[in-house]
Amino acid sequence: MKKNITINLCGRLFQIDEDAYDMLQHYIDSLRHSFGKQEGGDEIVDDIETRIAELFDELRQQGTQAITIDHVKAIITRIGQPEELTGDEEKADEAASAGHRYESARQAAQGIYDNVRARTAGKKLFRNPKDKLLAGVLSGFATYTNTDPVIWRLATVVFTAFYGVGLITYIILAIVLPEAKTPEQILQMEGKEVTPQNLADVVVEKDEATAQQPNLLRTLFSLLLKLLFGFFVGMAMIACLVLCLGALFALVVIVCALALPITSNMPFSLDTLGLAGLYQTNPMVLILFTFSLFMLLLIPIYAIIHMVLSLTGKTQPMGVGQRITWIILWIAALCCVVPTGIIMNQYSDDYFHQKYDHHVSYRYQGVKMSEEDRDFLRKGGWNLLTAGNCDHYTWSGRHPTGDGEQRYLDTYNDNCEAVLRVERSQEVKPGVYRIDCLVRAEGPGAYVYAMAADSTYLMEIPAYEDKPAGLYDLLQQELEYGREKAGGLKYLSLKIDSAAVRHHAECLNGWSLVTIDNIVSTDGTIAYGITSDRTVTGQQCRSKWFSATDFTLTRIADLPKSERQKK
Amino acid sequence: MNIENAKSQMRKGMLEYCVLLLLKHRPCYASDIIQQLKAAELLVVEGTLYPLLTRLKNDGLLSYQWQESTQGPPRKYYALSPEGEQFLEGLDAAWTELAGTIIYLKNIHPKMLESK
Repeated sequence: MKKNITINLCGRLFQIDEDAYDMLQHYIDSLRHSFGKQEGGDEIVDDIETRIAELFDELRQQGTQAITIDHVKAIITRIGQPEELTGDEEKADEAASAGHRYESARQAAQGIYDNVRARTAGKKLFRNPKDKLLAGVLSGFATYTNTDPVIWRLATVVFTAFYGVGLITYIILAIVLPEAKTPEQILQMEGKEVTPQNLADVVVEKDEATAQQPNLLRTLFSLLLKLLFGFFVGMAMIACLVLCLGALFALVVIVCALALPITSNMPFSLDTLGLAGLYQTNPMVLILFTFSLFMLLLIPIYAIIHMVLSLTGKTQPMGVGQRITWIILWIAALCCVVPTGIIMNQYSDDYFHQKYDHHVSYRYQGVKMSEEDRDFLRKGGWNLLTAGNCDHYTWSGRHPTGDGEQRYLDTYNDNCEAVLRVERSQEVKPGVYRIDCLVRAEGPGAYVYAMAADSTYLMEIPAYEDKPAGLYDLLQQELEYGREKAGGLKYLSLKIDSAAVRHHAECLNGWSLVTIDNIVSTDGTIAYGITSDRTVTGQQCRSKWFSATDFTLTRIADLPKSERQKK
Repeated sequence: MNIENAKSQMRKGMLEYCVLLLLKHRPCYASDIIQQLKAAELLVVEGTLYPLLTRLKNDGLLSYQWQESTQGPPRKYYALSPEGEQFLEGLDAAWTELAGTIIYLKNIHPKMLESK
């Protein structure tokens, strides 16, 4: 038994079974769809409809009461499937007019376009839940274009090799594309008519699919992909979280800075960030940065809230257009944050660099240096005779007494190019003198020197770098003999007691005691100092740094008789 | 190469000419044409005719008139327009030439080729 309905075809009434009607309706719709794109398409379909009415009439004259599905099938075979009707005509047309190269190229393009149109005709792009390995994006594309999902999967894997383009595109599409959830959406995805019959088919098919035994290999492959994907997504999420926290911190800082008065000394004020000048000359950069950073954080938060709400069914999920709009807005915010951030960073760097330059802009004997260097040299009566490529002239932190604040002579150049000659003169009674001093160096070529009565006395600074050196051994020895009880260490004016030696053992690293003996001064002056100047030492300095401190001049004898006679 | 395919290609090429020939002397409606073409085994599926008729009409080679029918829906009677007649003459000439060529090719003797 079948349900029977009456239809009006070209103004004539026919009795027809319901299933036959559905088939006929589908046939005419597909004809309309195929002919729709060509000129006079509707007219052709109308003519064919008339022809069907005629054939129905013939059937009635032969005594048929109601038209059955078999009748309709016979008629469809007689008139032909849409592909048979349109394809041939178009090919004939193409063959007729293919002459010029341009024309054929245009037709090839048209052919591809038509092919894609025909393949995607009447379909909607969804993520396909029926054949998915991960989120069903590629399977959705495959269904949409009527191709094999394997092609899309391979292409994605290949493109992932190029800076992860494939993976990133996949993730974006997985977010943007909705999944075909309802039977209606599944029909739209497959380009089928949404009819009660088809809907029922989808539901039945779903039940069958869930009842099917899963393929072991496929399940394994899917699991592997999911693990890999999960790993990447996990890494990306951690990276995102770190970036988010960084961005949040930056936002808090910049908002604080904008809220605080410009000249405030508070941390995070524009002045302490070195951005006060930028704010005064070009506040748009700061405002744009703040605003886009705000958007950069707000959009994902909004998206997450919206997603949670839609998952719990409180709101509708976002449409594709809305999702794309938000993504574009987010990218726009990113494109604002990065350049403005770079400008601000550059500005701040320049500002502090200038400030630092200002810091070293003190001069001592025509040489630029820091305030501390100048004060130390001036106080010690040191003269800078040669100074080239020196990073600094005094330093602190490694003084042999362990006093971190105590300065000493020191210079540094990473390429061993520091040329320094610093000395001071002392008025003395004519006689024989010795100089003790503490020195250290990184490499050979730096000297302690003394000059008296046209003679130059040179002693190379032992290069122990930072390792335990001469001074340490010396102090150990003296401690053993208990000499410190007899009023300090023998050679040194330094107040280093046994506890200090133990406590500051590491500060003694590299320091040695250097002595220049038998300096004969006949004219009452002795000049002494340190140098890496090869015109004095006759040797190329190969030391990155060298230091000196605690010069002690001791008179050891009167002038020898011969010297006195000369005088 | 499928012989059926080749045959259908030949028929397809001639279909347009045959339809014009059928309409040369009197107007016909689609089902008339279908019957005659089917008798001559020139038509496999009926549906092919309708796009062809519409194209010929849109090209101005055919015109049609509606006529009521005693036993069915109103019918479109197609007839040749003056341009259609001219076009048909052109096709006639081409056909004569083609037929001549084919007869010549079929009857060609190997010795005739050798002499050249």
